Amino acid sequence: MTPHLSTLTLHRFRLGELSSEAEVEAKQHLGACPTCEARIGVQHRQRLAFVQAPVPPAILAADSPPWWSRLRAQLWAVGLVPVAAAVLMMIGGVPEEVAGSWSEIDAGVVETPGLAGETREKGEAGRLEAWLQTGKSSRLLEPGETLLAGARVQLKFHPAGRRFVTLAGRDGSGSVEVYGTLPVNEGGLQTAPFALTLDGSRGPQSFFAVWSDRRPDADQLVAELGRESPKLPGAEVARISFEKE
Amino acid sequence: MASSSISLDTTIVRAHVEPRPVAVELDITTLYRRYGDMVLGRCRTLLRDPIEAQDATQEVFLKLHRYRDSFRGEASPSTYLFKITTTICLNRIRSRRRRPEDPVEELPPGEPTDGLLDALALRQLLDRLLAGEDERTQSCLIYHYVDGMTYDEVGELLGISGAAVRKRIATFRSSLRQSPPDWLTEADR
Ligand SMILES: [Zn+2]
Repeated sequence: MTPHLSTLTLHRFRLGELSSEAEVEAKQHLGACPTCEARIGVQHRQRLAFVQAPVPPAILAADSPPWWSRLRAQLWAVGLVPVAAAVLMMIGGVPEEVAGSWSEIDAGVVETPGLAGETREKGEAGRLEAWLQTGKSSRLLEPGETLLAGARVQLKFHPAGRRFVTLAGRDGSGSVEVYGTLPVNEGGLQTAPFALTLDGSRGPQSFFAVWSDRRPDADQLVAELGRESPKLPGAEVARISFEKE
Repeated sequence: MASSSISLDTTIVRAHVEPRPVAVELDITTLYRRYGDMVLGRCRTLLRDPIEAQDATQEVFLKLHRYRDSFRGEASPSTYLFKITTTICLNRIRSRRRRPEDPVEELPPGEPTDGLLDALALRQLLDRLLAGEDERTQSCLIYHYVDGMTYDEVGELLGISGAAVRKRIATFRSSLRQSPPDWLTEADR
């Protein structure tokens, strides 16, 4: 048997997840056991350091609703049935982002529901960059360059003062694929949490970044990005095009 | 559909590509904000490599989509996350041992963790249990010796009886009877 509180019990005590009975026992043990007091001290310090660090982009990206539209594209690509619906399961809270469609977006300063009074200024120009990855190095691609099959492309973007950026691509046949919508962090150039590998089909290949203050509607986005000049009121669009061989 | 001209090679997408009629979306960010430090701390304790611990933490949360059905059945996210973090860390330690040429960036030996074993004792335990024990026994031993769980607590976590846990640990202990390490005698006092 063990004389100490388990690591998990210490966490659950800290998080207020123990039953009242177990909580009383834990409190008594902690008052009398320097080892466990030191262990929970480590947990408190780790918590402090943790809350000061930003949430990694890959974690934020995992929650972007359009992951299932990306999934739908993937499933189509491998010949499977598209996902019928997404059911939101909420654990310990409400989702932080409120979905909205493009039609709800007005130009200019946007009030975001759920963030009372908080507004974001337009004006900072959005920039999209495509980087070619080779081994461990990468180089910035110039628009119009020719890309070969198998090339690995990493997209980078500036936040442009918006809450979200949606990354998408259009191939030579005019078909649009939405890769995902990411919450934008403050600060400089950000890297998409995924890389793209080009296949052997030829023709022009464009990449898009669409900045917005609400999550875009995937169907509307696909329709508009298929046009030569997309009309997405209130959103900012950047495009970068290449030739694929 | 011609949009298949590009493939996303990301674990996030791989985790989602499953032919299921209904996809359940977990609120990963909320879970991360609440439990990320627990997962990261556990990864640091077991892996003792701060860089790999960050990596493993992301792996845990990004895999939640894959495990969402069993996740839903759990009463407590902390218990569930603790369990899959342990599994992921043990998998990493096993594959690390298959590739001893890969460098491991060790935490400073004196750096305190919330586990009950220090760095040296943990290494001794891992050496012993990875050499000869099955995966379930490995988990039992980690939960008992590193985390200080009782037999019943380990059993509840793994879905087996406390008696079964006791038996596995007793067998392991008797294999060390010749020269019991300090941490073993201390933990079983
Ligand atoms: Zn104690």
